[in-house]
Formats: sequence, structure tokens, C-alpha cells
Amino acid sequence: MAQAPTQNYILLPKTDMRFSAESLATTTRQAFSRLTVDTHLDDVLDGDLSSKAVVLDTTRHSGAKLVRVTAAELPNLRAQLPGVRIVPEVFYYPQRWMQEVRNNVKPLQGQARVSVRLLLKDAKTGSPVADATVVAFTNFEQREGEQATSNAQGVVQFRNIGNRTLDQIYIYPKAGHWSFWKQNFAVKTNDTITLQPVKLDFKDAKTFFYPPATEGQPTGKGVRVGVIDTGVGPHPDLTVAGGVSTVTGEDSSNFADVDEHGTHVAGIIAAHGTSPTGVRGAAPEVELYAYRVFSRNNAGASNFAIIKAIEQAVADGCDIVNMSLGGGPSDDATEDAISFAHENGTICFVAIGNDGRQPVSFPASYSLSLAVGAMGRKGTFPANTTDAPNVLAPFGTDKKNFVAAFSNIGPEVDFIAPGVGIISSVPGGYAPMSGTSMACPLAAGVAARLLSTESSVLAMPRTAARSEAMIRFLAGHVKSMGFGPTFEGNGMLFV
Amino acid sequence: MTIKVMAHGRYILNFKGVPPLPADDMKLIRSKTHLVDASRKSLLVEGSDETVMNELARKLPQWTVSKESCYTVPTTRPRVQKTPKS
Repeated sequence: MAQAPTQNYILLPKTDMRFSAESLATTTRQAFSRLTVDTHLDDVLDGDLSSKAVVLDTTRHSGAKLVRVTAAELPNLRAQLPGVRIVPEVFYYPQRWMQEVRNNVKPLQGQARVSVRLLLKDAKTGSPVADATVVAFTNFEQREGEQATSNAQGVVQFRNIGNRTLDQIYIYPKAGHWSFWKQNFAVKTNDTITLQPVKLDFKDAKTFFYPPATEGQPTGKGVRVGVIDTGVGPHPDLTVAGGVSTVTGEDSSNFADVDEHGTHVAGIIAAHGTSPTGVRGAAPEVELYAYRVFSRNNAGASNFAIIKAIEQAVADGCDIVNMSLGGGPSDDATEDAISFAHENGTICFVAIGNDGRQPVSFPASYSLSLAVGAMGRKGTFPANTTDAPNVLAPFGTDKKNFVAAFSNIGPEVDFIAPGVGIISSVPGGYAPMSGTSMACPLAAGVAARLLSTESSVLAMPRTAARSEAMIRFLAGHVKSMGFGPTFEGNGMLFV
Repeated sequence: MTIKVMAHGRYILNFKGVPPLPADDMKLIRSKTHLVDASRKSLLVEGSDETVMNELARKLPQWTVSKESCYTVPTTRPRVQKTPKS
């Protein structure tokens, strides 16, 4: 059998180049100090590290360590040394000027100008479906096409795509219906497309893997979770205990959702409705805090707002923070904020990004983030929805399970969770959504549910030792789904 | 001192020491920029131009200076990038 290739990594304290003399004698620090040259990591650390994992060099007993491990062992190593930064060894070479060839995109010559209108209707009642976003691709690979929204009569009007077969069509209703997807779709004006209504007792992937807790089972009571997002609610299935907006220049007391994303994320964690009239989150009894970092004027979320939100979540006593966001350049200020959370007993779950097998995005890529990827399961969403093209290898030990096509990958991944066709709350109702944005709060919610059984950990002083204890505890409640560590990290949390 | 992607616009100055933020540093920052917002140990400022920010970066060894970045709401929906060809 071929042996997994090893690579060298540098282990560092979470700040600076070595642990200071004044830093707390945590379990992590003690283990770190025992990593001397030629030490095999499995002689010092718990977990299933191979005999090939060894310390190659060290600056001093409390300083940086150069270790050799396989990439597959990184999630395990991170779990055994919570709070330690792990960065790949990098070699620098003399700079050479490289000519960059760039192909200029030529402007298109002529355009189709044949208009067409489609009708969107509820499959059961025949009622029009308004406010659905329809994306029609004439050439999907080139992303050529047109986008439009259905009006109150369910009519969606296109100007440029008539009298042809569409390569692919994607329909995203606002709430209450499943999405729709079809390939090789011949379009004629006044065609009707019917959309399946969402039934709240449908067994989506969240319900499949994490059925609602029964009487006597933990539900997250005693745990406080902060959702840093587009805002939360209002929604009848959500109770927000507190929160703020940290967007510079906006009313700090207004943390209502400016989109739908934050309400959906919060519902996955903490919704307290009951099927079939409502939805139930993974941990319906947590104390939910909302931190709106996305601006009301559609300008996006400043990393400064995110930094302030993390600091506020710590000040509010959040045990867990969920950040279903990212994708920008790494920055030390955001890293420092996540480090600050860790040092004060708050752990951060961060979505790894939806770029389709690209590297884990920042801030999930930061070593103190708990980075979450997305998986799905065949049979937990209707076959003609936009989730059909999300089915992609690798498949799991159970072949119905797959890593979502949009999920990023890399050695920074810590966990994987269901994130395909997840039904949750949105302003005005309920909707299925997909993304690592959905997987991350599911992992965070399950973590809250698990931690609610560990009163001794929750009672610890709010220091790095508390964060490390939480991470160690969660590491003992993970199982591999058979995807491989660059896709799933240590695997999926189980209750 | 680390300077990233300097340009006009808003910048984040991040103090790498232990708060409170040094009074002399704050005086210098306020004299050169417009302070928009502040967190525990980071400042959001509007800088007049790259020369000014470079000068600040040189004079503030305990700070990093980087351009503010913005995240969009995550999505998995494919986007149209071109109109159809005839």
C-alpha cells in the first residue's frame, strides 16, 4: 500500500514566536514544551498519530517546533493542540520577473433579442409564485445567460433567451417552495413551471443526521451562541436574547436581518418551532445572540465590523460564535480578534467557503477557527432541485453521502456537517438553502447541544484553558464519514 | 510594520501590543487621518492618500496598517456573467 506523503509544518503559539513565561500552564502548553527534537508526536500526544509524525527541530522548549506529519494527520494534531498555530514550512527563492500572458475578452458581436415569459406556479394549488429568482443559462460553462425575478402574478420576463434550448435553468423561490433545476430546457413563451411547496415535516439532511431531541435529551440549555451574520429575524421560531449591529455608522440596536441568510443560519442552530408548523434547530434551548455585520445598503460586511462583533460576543459571554462568512484576504486584525475569543473561553465555528474544491477561505483558514465543510445525502432533497448538481465525489462510507460540490477543501478543515437542502427559517416563512453557511451552524448547534452536558467545562473560568477543554471534548465526539481529512477534517460531530 | 494593499479609502490600524492604546500613537493617528470607528485594539480610519498611510506605518512600529476589506453574503447560486450570443 502506498504511504501517505509527509510534509513539514511549523507549530507556533497562538501569538508571538514562543509561549511567554507568564502564559498559563495549560495542558496544551505543557504538551508543547515536551515536543523536543526527535520526539515522536504519538509519544506525547493522544489521538491516532502515526509513527512518522516526528519533531525535526525546535527553537527552544517554549518556542517554534518544526514537525513532519502527513496532511491527513493535521486535523487530529489540531485537536490535540488546541490554540497552537500550524503553518506549512515555506521555502523562498530569488525573485524572477515573469511575463504574464493575459487573454483579453472580446466584446460579444450581436445579441439575441427574442423575449419570452414564463409562469411560475405552486405545484399543489396552482397559485402564482412571486419573487422567485430565475437564472437561465444559454451556455453554463461560459456563464452566458440572463436573470430575472417573478412578479406578483408569477410571471418572469426575459429579453434575450427566447426560441432556444437553455443549457441549464435555476429557479430560487424566496420562501415556501423548493428550488428547481433542469438541463436542456426548451423555452417557449407562456410555459408554466410548477414549484414544489416545502413541507416542514420533510426529512432533510439536518433531520436525517440530527433528529430533534426527545424528552430528556440535551438541547443546548445553558450555552450561549452568537451568530455573526446579516442579522437575525424577526421570526416566530426564533427568540433572540440580545445582540447588536456593529456596522459603522448604523443604529447599533438594529440587528434585524437585512437579507435572509442570518435568519436561516440562526434557525439551524436555535429555532424552537415544532414540525409540521415550524422548524427546530439543533440546539433549540441555547441562548441566541445576533451580531449584524452586513450593512443595510448592500455594501457587504466590513472586516472591521466582524472584528467588533467577535469582541462583543466575547463581552456578552458567548460560548460559541458562528461565522458563516469569509473569502477575503487574510488580515491580522481579524486573526487577533479570533485569538482574543479563544483566550477568553469563546470558540469560533467558521464556514470554509463555497468555491468548489478551492482552498479553505479566510477566516476559516486561521488555525484558531473551527473550519466546517459541507456534505449532503441523496434522498434528502427532491431530485429536480438546484441541489442535484451539488452531488459530487467523494462519496462516503455510506455511498448516499457526498461532499457538496461547492465545498472548499484543505488541511485546515476541522469538521464536516450537512449543508445541502437544509430547511430553516427565513423572514416571512421557511426555505431550503445550501452552503457551507448551513453546515457551519449545524456543527455549531450540535457542539452547543453536546457542551450543554458538560457543566464542568462550561463552569471553567473564561480563559484559553476553557476553549481548549471545549475543543478537546468535541474532538471526542467526532466520527469520520469516509471522505478523507482534506474534505471532512476529523469528520462529523455526533450526539 | 506591515502594510497591505495601500490605496485611498478606509484602513484598519491594528495595535499589536496590549491595550490601552498609547496616547501618543492616538494623537499621531488623529492628526493624520479621520478616525471613523474603534474596537478593543483596532481603529477604522479614512486615509487621505497612500503617502500619509506609509508615513503612519513607519512611525507606528506597534501597529499594522491594512486596507479595510468587505465580504459579500455567501451563496452557492451560479451567476450570469455574459449576455447570450446571437
